[in-house]
Amino acid sequence: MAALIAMRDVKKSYGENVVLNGINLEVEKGDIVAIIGSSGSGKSTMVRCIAGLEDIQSGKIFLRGEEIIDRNSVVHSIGMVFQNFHLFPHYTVEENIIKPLRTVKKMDLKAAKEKSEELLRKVRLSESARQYPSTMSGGQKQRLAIARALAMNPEILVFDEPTSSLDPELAHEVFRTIKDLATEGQTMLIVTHQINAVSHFATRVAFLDSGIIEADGACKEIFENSDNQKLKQFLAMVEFNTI
Amino acid sequence: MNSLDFSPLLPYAGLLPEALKITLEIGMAGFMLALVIAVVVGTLRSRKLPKAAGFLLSFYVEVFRGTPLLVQLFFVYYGLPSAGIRMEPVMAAILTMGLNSGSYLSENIRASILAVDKGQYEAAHMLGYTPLQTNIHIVLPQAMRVAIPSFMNGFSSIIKETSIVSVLPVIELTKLGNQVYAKTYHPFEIYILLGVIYFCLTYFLTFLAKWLERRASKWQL
Repeated sequence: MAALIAMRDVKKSYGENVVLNGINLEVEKGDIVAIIGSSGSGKSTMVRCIAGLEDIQSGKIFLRGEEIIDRNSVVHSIGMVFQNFHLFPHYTVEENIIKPLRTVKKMDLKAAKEKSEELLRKVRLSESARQYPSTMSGGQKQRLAIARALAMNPEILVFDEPTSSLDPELAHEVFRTIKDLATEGQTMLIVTHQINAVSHFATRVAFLDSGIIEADGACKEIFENSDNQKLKQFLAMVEFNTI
Repeated sequence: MNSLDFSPLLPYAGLLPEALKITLEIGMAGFMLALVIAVVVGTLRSRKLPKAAGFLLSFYVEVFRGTPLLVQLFFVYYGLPSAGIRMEPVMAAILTMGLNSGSYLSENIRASILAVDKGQYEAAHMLGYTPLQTNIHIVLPQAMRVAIPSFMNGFSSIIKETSIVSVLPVIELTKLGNQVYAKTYHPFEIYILLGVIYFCLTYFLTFLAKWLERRASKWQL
């Protein structure tokens, strides 16, 4: 069976600056892939290419075995959670979920409200349903962003550094939510610097360096047994403590 | 200086409501038209357009911002009939006011749209919004909030600029004032009264603007 997402020799540059230099990656249903690497290694660009937010210069990206030709075609299969949340500030917390369901999925109000209540319960934000995002903490905002993405029932959920702009305490809240999703079997791609946190639930880790996946394997393999020098240097740099 | 004497104006007081009605009609309809033009033109000009369309919209904005309102009004009312387009003076006034103010306000809308975070477009796209849905549901409500003060300024300006319409055969406030002046020779009282009426109208609008801003800002800290 074809992989849920497959990248074949994907290259992407901004002018002279080569950001992705031949990415090959396969993500199976149920995989939770942590994408690690130093800043500028191409992690975010890689997931943005998968999500169709960036054009690629060469190579191919497949969704369930079918090449993605129209970037718009992936939006119903891929949900995205951004570093800076990108919540809709003019909507209340519940409206951030209800309005997209009504506008995009054409769901009736009652069903959309029920779905919103269910998702807000899931991310522990039921109490804040009628607040505006501007009144919430960063951790709450990110949990709402996760709930909003989940509302569209994406096959794969992509996180682009979901906790980079959060304090450790708030980051913990967000990882708790992501971990809950992991136990439910949600396929996820998570770009992160929080190696310790993702090591508890990621099924795979891909290490990027200079636009190339230098190492890709199970957590234990990557964090304990890899003899890739660049990976070792990176792990030493982030003072990773083995699991 | 003679003392103020408003009594000679009293016989004409009955004409005031109709003139006020016409002023408000021109001002409000002109503003509504300007609003529609501003949203459409401002939204289109904030996007990448085909060259011809971009040039046309830019031409409209520059021409209406670069020529006097009075000339535009004369052109619409006296000039267009030569091209077979005739209209009632009130309609000509509304059209000119709308087109003129729309050109200014469209630039405010364009700037407000450009000020909306790019992430809002990406988030909407990833949720499956079409570009049109993104504009209507996500971008415009946020841009309009930023544009409210300039919109209310525009509304206030239109109300004041309706006095220019007195050059056409339509009895709005200023024209009524001019006619009463011709009959009574009390310009001092007449134009003070006119000034007070215009001031009251625009002062009310500043309260409306503040109320609208407060309502539209409920989502902002």
